[in-house]
Amino acid sequence: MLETLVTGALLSVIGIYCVIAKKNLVKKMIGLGIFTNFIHLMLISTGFREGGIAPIIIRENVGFFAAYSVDPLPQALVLTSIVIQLSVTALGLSIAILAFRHFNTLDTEKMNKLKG
Amino acid sequence: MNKKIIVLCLMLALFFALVIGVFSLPSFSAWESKDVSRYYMDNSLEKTGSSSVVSAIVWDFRGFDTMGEETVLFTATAGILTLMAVGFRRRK
Amino acid sequence: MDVIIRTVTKGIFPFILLLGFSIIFHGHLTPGGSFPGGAVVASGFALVAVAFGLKGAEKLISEETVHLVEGLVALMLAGLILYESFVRKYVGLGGGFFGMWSSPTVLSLNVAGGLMVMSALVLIVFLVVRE
Repeated sequence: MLETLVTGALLSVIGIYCVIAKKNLVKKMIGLGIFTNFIHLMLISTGFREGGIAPIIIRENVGFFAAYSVDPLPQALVLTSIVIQLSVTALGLSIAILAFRHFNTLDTEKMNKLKG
Repeated sequence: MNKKIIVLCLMLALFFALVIGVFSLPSFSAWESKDVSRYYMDNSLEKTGSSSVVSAIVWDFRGFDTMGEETVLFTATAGILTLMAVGFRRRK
Repeated sequence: MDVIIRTVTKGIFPFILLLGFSIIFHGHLTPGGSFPGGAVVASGFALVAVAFGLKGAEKLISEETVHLVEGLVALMLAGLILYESFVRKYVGLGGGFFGMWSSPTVLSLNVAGGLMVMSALVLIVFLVVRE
């Protein structure tokens, strides 16, 4: 149980490192995506239950549903966050297309020196 | 070379802070303290009529969060439409 | 594009649409709902846009239709959520307690949300492919 969270923390730190230390704009967006997705995995894994079933009420498990199912609340919150990550990635890549058209390069260190 | 070492030390410090934070959270099978989840699981079938608890939470119990998120999606689409029309020259 | 890709796309596109709409319509009985279902339907349209170019995709669904659907569905979604929070005080018509009509508000909200996600993703794909 705890090793899942520690692995998620390690990979989130790798994602943040990609945003800071890489010079290409597309690689920075990939790092943002890695970081966000592993934070989502860490959130969902807090609702773990050993020998648990999916949170769907069917006719066979109406009686003992509350004693065996996993936690449905973090799943609902992460569902909203996935759509927001999609919007951020789409807008970020559109701005990268526009920056490439203007500066003719995708290197953030060269974008400081040109006057447009 | 100097900058990379500073960034790596910063990332190591951040990782240790996250691990300390993870180990100091309460134990995760503590189902006695999960009041809100228990309320949603017990009352989802009578009050909403839907068999899937996740759908009932997203659309009925916390419907305003979903409305805000659809607004974000709509605004992002409008923003991409604006950005893609920047270099569009009209030929007369 | 290639002959193999075009032939396979012509054969498999209705089944992708069928799978997507099945995930959307059974959102209150099985896991899924509007967001994965909308993504599957949009990926079917993206496959047609990749295989046949933008002109082939325009023959299937024009861009003005997508704009119209997105605007109307956004208003309908806001109206349905406000109706459900303030006005609805009874559980829906039970036609079989675990059946298709056990909850009309969640069903119609899933359909509206699925159409909204599908139109947003299809619009993004069309705009980026055009460049």
